Amino acid sequence: MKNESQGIINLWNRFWFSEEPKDILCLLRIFFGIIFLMKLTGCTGFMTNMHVELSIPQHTFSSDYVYRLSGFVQSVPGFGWLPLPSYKTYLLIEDIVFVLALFFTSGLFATYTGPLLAMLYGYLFVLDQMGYHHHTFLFVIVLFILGFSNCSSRYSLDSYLHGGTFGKVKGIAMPRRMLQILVSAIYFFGALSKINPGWLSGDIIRVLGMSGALHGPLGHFIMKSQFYLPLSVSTPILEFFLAIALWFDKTVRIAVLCGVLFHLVIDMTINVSTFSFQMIALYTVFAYPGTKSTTIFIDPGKVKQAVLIRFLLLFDWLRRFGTVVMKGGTPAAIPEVYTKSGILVRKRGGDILTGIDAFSCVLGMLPLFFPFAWLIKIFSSVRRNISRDHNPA
Amino acid sequence: MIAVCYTMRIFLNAVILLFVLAVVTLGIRSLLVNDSRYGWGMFASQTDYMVSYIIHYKDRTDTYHTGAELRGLARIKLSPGRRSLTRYGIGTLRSWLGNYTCYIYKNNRTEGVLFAEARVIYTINGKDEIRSERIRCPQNSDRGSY
Repeated sequence: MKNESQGIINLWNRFWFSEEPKDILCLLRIFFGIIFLMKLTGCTGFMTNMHVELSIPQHTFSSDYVYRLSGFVQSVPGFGWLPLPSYKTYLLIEDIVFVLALFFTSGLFATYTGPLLAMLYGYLFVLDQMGYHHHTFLFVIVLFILGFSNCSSRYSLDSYLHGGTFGKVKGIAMPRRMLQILVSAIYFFGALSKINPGWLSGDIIRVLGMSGALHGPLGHFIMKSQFYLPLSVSTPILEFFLAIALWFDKTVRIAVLCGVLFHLVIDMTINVSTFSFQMIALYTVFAYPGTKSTTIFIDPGKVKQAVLIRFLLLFDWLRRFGTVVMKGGTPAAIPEVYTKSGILVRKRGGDILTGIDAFSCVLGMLPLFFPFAWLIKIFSSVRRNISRDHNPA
Repeated sequence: MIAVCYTMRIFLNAVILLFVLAVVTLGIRSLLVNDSRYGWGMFASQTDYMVSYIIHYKDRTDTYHTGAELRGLARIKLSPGRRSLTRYGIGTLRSWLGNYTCYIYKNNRTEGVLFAEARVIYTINGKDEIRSERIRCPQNSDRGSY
């Protein structure tokens, strides 16, 4: 019994407190920061509203006349004690939030600007429930987690000014785990709430269409094709799948691909402000955090491999690859037979890949290019089958 | 130093537990009370509603007309005699109206006032069935159906 409880405690500690590189959180700070700036400047709904009005920053209230907090106010329960700002103070706070968001996204003084930004935006959020939106609530939670997790050690002006890294490059897994749980909970409860006759019969999508809410390019298509029922049934299934599949190594890539397509389809159908982009950015937290856990052996004399290195420098955002330069010989760890076949990759588990398999592995580990890895794998297996048919021996 | 680390670990564990508890509790709450705010229920229902307000006195009732206290989004969502839509569920509407009815009651608490009441008629997901509810402050809501 004592061993069992010790085992559970160890598992708990490993899950929440194991040390890992902060690169993923640093990357998320930039992605999420950019999306937050989109929200603050009114650059939302690209695919549904063709008239995007950019203003720096965009204020919630256009005049004193529509300023809700000078009339009937219902603050978020538990926060009624907070003082209500005047209209002018509210505008000033929004301006400060915009400046702090710029600092935080670029990673300048992020140790201070992060918590300050989270608290100021959280303050504006809890003042009044009438303006509640899921995307603003998501901003508040993620800004709090990122703001207090000191995520400017890389990809930041702080690190640039300090010659590469700033502060601790490793930290506990807790902030990333919290965000993972949040993403799963969003999909899980989103799916659960749709298990009702109204949604599953297609009525809600039909009503949304009739009320003029489906106005993106795909919205018009859905209205014309009356594609309500298949959409209604498949959405909660996909959401349940995403809530679970994002956690497993074997399914995470297909889940991310499905999730990105799902959110792009939503964004092309209905105006959900920045919510789709927020969810897509949050997929970063499901990436494996092992920095430089895969090694590429490079011969700089070969043009193709030199190009590959440049390519990796540009797109290896999760810093998964370490490189070993081979100069006129084979590294001791690699059998000589492999070095004749172009690109050489040693994976996290120690497996060695060459040629097209290695190239497919490299693409599969880059955030922007992983779908192409599947295409290459299919192409490679077709080619192998054809060559086997031609040379059965 | 060890004591500081120990206290920090306890604090972090408490934050984790609170976070997980909040995420799960808010999610379940949103399903139970049909109020998808804070609980990630998205597009679970579409409520089409119209509201009116009445102040009940000992000997009479008066229709309450909203004034400058409703501004912006609150004016759009809570003004009487006007059709509005919400995607957040009937529970959200009950919460808005409950709070606003109490606001009306507190600000019109003259002699003889018994309670303020919001009467709402609504349809869910475009169905023909029209439902109604009365939400009172300081009393509980009284649900019914036409």
